[in-house]
Amino acid sequence: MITDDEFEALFHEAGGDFAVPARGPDEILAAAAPPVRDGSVVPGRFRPRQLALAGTSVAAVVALTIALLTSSGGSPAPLAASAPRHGIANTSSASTSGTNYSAAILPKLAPEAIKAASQAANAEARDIIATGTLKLGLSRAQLRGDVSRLEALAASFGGYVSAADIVETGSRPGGTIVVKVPAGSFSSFITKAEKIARVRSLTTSDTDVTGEVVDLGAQLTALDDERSQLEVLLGRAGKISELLSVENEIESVQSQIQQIQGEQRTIATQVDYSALTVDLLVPKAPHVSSSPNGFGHALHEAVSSFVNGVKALVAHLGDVVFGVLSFVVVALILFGLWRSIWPWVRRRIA
Amino acid sequence: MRSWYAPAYRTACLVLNDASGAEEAVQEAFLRMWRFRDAMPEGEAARPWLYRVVVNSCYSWARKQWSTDGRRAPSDSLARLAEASPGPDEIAVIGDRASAVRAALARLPEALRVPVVLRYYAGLSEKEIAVAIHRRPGTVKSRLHEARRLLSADAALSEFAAPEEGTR
Repeated sequence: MITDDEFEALFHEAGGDFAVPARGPDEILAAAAPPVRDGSVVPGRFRPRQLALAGTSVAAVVALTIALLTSSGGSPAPLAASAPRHGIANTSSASTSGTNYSAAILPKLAPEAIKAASQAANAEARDIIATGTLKLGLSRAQLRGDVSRLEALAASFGGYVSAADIVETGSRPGGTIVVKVPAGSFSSFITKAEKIARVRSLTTSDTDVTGEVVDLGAQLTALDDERSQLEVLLGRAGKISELLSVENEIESVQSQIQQIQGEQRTIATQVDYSALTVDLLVPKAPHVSSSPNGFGHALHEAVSSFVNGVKALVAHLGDVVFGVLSFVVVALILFGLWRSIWPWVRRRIA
Repeated sequence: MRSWYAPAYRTACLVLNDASGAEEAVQEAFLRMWRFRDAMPEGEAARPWLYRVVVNSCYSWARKQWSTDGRRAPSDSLARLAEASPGPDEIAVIGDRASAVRAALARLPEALRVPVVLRYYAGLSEKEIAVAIHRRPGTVKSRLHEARRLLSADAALSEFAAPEEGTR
């Protein structure tokens, strides 16, 4: 058995047998470090996203300044109204950086006003997915008309019916439709939808996805930077193998970027359009039963008792009755035979 | 970072048994380290993190080889490495201990080769290897045990083992 010390010695000998490339680390560090020209770092070119971010930050600062200077009571309403409700991590980061800039640029303003403006802007910029379930009770005759009314109501709010499952016939008519309306009109839509039929129940829920949106935005930024670095490396690749390797990496990063952009679009749609699931409940047809009292009831009870008594008798005396019936049947057969044979027998005797 | 290049490169060589592949893998590992340098832990925890990046780059390189070499399974490519390396008889003739170790390593399954290289070449503890290969310490322990058993049984290496005391 080889000991640990022997293993270590053998492995170090085997590893030391490989000659380390002399220029390896320098090449890598040169490729990874930012490009340098004349001893100074070359300013990287601005990408559209960076320009948009910078522009949004400047706009936020200007809007905040105007809002704070023009409002007498320090109400930040103009900024809150101007800030988009949903959107993307860029929006959130832009508003945050705008607030920070304002604190630095406008030191004479009251800190409370700046804080209030910041809180209002942040609150307004949150990304909320609102959903709800409304259960409406209606008659079978109303079903078709109410579905049409809901569709028309959704259209009037700029929404649409995204899914519908309606059964008009059979023992259990009813169904479910999913209506999507612009988030700003969600509560108004519910208020009007409640008037269409009798409300059995209503539940709504709000999911805050701001963190998820910011996270996706950060991932996108990181991947964007990574792709830029890889593009620089692509220009420096000397060997074909290096070229292919970097291209593969860029392809992988690009695919991740597209995936994240897709997720952002999905979330933005969910934030933009709130979904209301409307359950249309049609009660079952009432069961018609006989009057529980009176002569009819008494007669029904009597017949039931008789039938039940017969059933009980048959159940208890089943074997005896079967035996008696069998005996009677056999006796009748024998009697019949005797009646048919007896004349012939009598003639023979005579 | 420069001082760390040589051990990383040699570790990759032992894992992949391919100098050019190791160079590419370590290059990729260094780029990843540079990219994620903010996430690099400080102090003692840095070493397993660095080796983890190297091992992952080696796996990536092996996967790329698999995709470019006619869609052969990774184990197949490793088997080819074992076939390409000299057999025990040739090694005995050559008497080259380093080649014998490399050949014995190439015959080991990948799951055993990585921890044993990290243990005996890189000098990582079992706990650090567990961090580096993202497995539980118990798994690392059993893999090391199995690797030691297979290496000790390897005819090419057993010649270099010191004779045990008391053996007849």
